[in-house]
Amino acid sequence: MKPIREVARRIDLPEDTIDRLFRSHLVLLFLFLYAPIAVVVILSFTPKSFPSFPMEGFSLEWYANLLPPDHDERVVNSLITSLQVGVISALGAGVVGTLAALGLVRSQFSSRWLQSDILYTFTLVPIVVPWIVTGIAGLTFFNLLGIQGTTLSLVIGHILICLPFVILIVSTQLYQFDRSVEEAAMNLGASELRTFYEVTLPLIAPGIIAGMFFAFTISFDNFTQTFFWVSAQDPTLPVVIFGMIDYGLEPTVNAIGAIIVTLSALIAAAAERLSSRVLE
Amino acid sequence: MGERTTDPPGETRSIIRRLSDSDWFRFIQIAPAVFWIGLFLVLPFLIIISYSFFESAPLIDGFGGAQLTLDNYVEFFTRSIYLSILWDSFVIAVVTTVITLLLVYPAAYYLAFSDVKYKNLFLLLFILPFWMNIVIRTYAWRQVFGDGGLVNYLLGFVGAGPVEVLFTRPVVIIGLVHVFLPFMLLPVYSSLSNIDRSQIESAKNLGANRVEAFMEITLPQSVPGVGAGVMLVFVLSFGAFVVPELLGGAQNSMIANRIASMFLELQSWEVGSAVAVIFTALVLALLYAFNRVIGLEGMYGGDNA
Amino acid sequence: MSDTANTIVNLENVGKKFGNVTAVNDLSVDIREGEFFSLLGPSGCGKTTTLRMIAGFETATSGAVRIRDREMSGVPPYDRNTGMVFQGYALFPHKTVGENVGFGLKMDGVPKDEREEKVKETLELVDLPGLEDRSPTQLSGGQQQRVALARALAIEPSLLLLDEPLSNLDYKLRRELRFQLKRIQEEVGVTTIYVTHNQKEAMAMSDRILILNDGQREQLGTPKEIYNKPKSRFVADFIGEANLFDGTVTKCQNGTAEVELDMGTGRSLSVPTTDAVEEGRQVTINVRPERVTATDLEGILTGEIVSRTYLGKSTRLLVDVNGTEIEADISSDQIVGLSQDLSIGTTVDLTWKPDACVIVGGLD
Repeated sequence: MKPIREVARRIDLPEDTIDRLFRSHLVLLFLFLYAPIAVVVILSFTPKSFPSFPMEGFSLEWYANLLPPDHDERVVNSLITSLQVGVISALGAGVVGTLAALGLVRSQFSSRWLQSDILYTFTLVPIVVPWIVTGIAGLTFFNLLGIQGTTLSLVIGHILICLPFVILIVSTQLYQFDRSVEEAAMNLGASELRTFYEVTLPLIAPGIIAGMFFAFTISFDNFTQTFFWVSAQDPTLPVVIFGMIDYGLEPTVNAIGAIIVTLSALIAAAAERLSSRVLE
Repeated sequence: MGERTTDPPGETRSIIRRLSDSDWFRFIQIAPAVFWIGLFLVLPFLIIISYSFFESAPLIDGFGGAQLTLDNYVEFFTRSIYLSILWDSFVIAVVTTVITLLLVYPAAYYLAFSDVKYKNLFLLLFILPFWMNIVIRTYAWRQVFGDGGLVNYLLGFVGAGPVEVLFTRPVVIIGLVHVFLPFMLLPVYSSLSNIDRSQIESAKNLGANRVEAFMEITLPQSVPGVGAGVMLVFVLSFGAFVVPELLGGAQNSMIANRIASMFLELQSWEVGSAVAVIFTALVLALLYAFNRVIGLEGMYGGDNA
Repeated sequence: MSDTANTIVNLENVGKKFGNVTAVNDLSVDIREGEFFSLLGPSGCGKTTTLRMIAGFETATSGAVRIRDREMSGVPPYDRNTGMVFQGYALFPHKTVGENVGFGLKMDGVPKDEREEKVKETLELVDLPGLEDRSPTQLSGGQQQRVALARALAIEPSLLLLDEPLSNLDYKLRRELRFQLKRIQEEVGVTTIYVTHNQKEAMAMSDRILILNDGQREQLGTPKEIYNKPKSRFVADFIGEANLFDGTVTKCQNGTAEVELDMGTGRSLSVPTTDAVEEGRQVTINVRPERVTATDLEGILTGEIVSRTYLGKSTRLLVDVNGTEIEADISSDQIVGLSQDLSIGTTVDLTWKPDACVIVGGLD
C-alpha cells in the first residue's frame, strides 16, 4: 500500500480541480459521441449530391426524396418491411421470452441434468455467439429449409436475436417481484390461473412492454445478421441504407439519419418523462 | 436455488419421472425458448461444423455423395492470410476494448458518485446513440474523416492537410469504440452506482485518502461490471462486420468480412465454415477463460442466490 | 386428535423440512373457535412456517393439519377460507383500496353492488371509511396495514391469519394498532392466529400463546401462566426479563423446596412449588427483576452495584453477587424510602417475596 499512498499524496489535487477534470472528460466524450451524428444532420441539408464541407448553401431536396410523390420506393418499402418484421419479432420474442423468464426465475429444478442456471446461460447464447456466425449459420439452415430470403426466415432470425434481451429484462423484473401478493390473491380465493392474470401479469407488464420495445428496436436496427438473411427483392431499411453507401456517400442517407436521430431523441425524451412521472 | 438432492445409491430414476408437477410446468414454460435457440442457432451451427469437414459446400445432392476431408482446416493454418487476419482482428478488438474502458470508466465513475444535476439526462445521452442505426453511425465517420469531411475541412483553416485517414486501422478502431461504447457504459455504471457511498466514507474516515479509498473499495467492487462490459465490447468488436466494411476498406477488413465474402461472394462455404468454426471456438474459449478469472455475474439481470 | 368440540385448527405431529433444515418438528396443538392465538418465538423458530402450512402455502412433510376436522393436505390455499395479513401487507399496488378489499368477494362471484356494500362496511370497521378509490401506494404504513386487515376480513374467513402484521410500523403506531386489532377481532369474533416475535404484543392481545423455539413447542398457555410459570429457561428468558439461578434441591416439604445456589454464596432459597421435587436434583430458578427490591435490612443476597440506569418509573440496578450479575428494578417510590443512596460501588441488600421465585427448569 505504501507506493499507492506515496503516489496519492503527490497527486492529491484540490477537490474542485478534480471535479473540473472529470467534467471536461465527460464533455469531450459527448463531443466524440455526438460530433459525427451532428455532421450527418448538418450535411443532410447540403445542396450538393456529394455531402462534403464546405456546404455551399442549404437544401431540403434530400428530405423531399423521402416523401411522396418523388419518394425513393426502395427506402419506403424497406421501411415498411422493417416495421413489420420488428413488430412481429417483438411480439414473438415477447411471448416466448416472458414464458421462459417465468419458468427460469421460478423453477426449482433438483435434477442434475436440468438446472436453472444452465438453462439461463443457454438462453443467453445468442448474445455471446459472434453476430457474423449467427448470420451465416442462419443462412445455411434457411437454405436447407428452402426459406432463405423470405420474411419468415427474417422473423425467425430476429426472434432468436431478441429473445435473450426480453428474457434478461423480464427476469430482472421478476426477481424484484414480491410473490406475497400472489399468495394474498390465492388466500382470497383466486386460483393459480386467476392469480396470474389478476395480479402477476398486470404487475410484470411494464417489464414485458419494455422487453418488447427493446426487441423491436433491436430488430429494426439489426444489420449484420439481417444482411445474410434478407432477399434482394424485399430488404429491410438498414440493408437498403448499406447498399446505398457501400461505395460512396449519399445525401439521402443523411436525411434518413437525421430523421432517425430526431425520432429516437423524441422517443427517449417521452420515455424519460413517462418513467419519471411513474416514479413520482 | 433449491437444494440439490443426490440420488440414493442403487436407485436410478429417469429425469422425466423425477420432475415434480411444478417442475414440469416450469419446464414447459422454458421449452419454447430453448427449442428456438436449439433449432435456429445450435443446430445450424452444427451444420456449419459438418460443412467444414466436406470437400465442397453447400451440399446440393445431400450428404450422400460428399467427401469428408480436413483440407479446409489445413488451408486455414497453412495460408498465412487467415491467421494474419485473425490476429489483426484480435489486436483491433483488444485495443478497442481497452480504449473504450479507459474512456468510459471515469465518466461512469463521475456520474455514479457526484451529485451532477441532470444525471439521468447524461445517462440517456450515452445510451441514445445505441438507438441510431449502426450503419448510419459508421457512415457518419466517413463524413468526418473522408475527402470533403469535417477533419480535412478544419485542417484547411490552419493550412494543413488534406490527410488520407479513411480506410486506416485507427479509423476502424475509432468507429468501433463509437458504436460499442454504450455496451461498456451500462454495466460499469450499474456496478459503480450499486456501491454504498458510506463504504467509501468509512474508508476515508479510517484514514484512506481518495486514491487509496478508490483502490481498496471502489475498484474491486466495480470488477463485475467492468468484466461484463469488457467481454461484451471485446466479443462485439472481434466479430465486427459493418465498421471494418465501411471504414476499413480492403486493407483493414476483419475476420467477419472474410467469412462473409466466402459465403456471399466466393461461394466457398466449406472453407468459410472452417474459419467460422475456428473463430467461434476461439471466442467461446476466451469467454470461458475470462469467466473463470473474473466471473460474469454482472451480465445476468438478477442474482439467483 | 381434536379432543374438544370447539377445536377449529388441529395440528397433529406436524413437521416441515426444507432440504436438510428442519423448520417445524413434531408440533401438536389445538386452536379453539373464537380465540386469539399467538405463535411466539424468535426469528427462525418456525412460527411463520406453521402459519403458512395452515394457510396452505407450505405442505407439511409429516403429520396432519386439520381445519374443522378436515385433513388439509392437497387442499389449495384458495379453498381454505382463511384470511391472511402478510408481513409486508402484500396489497395489490395496481388496484384501488376498494378493489383490494373486494378482491376475495370478486373471486367468490359476489355481484358488484353487494360487493361494494361489503367493502364500505369493512373499511368502516377498520376506521378507514371512504378510502375506496385511493391507491394503496398513497397510504401510510398504518393505513396500509388496516387495508390489508380489511381485505382479509371482507371474505368473512373462518380463520384470520396474521403474520407479524405490526412489525413494519413504528413503536407508537404499533401500540395503537395493537388495541385496534384486538377490538376488531373481538367485534368480529373470528378465530385469529397471530405470529409475532414481540412478546409484549403477544401478551397484550392473546387468549393463549404457543411459544416455539427451533421448530419445537416450548410452552402453551395463557399469557399469565406463561409469564408467571415459565416451564423452561428459554421461556423465562424470552418472556420478560429474568434472573436465572442454578442450584440443587436440598429439601422439599410442605410445598416449599429449599434450593442451594451454585453461585457459591452458600445461600439457599425457599421456592414454592406445587410438584414434589426430589432431593439432589439440579434446578433453575427465576426471579423477575421487577420483583427484586432493595432493603435496609439483611437481604436474601448481597452484592455491589455495578451500574445504574434510570428507566423513568424505576431504576435498573446491576448488582454483582459473587461474580453473578443480578438485575433489579427498584421503583422510584422505594428509592426515596431507602436510607442508602444506591450509587455505583456501594453494597446493597436485595430481597423478594417468596412467591417471586419460580422453578423454571430441571423438573423433568
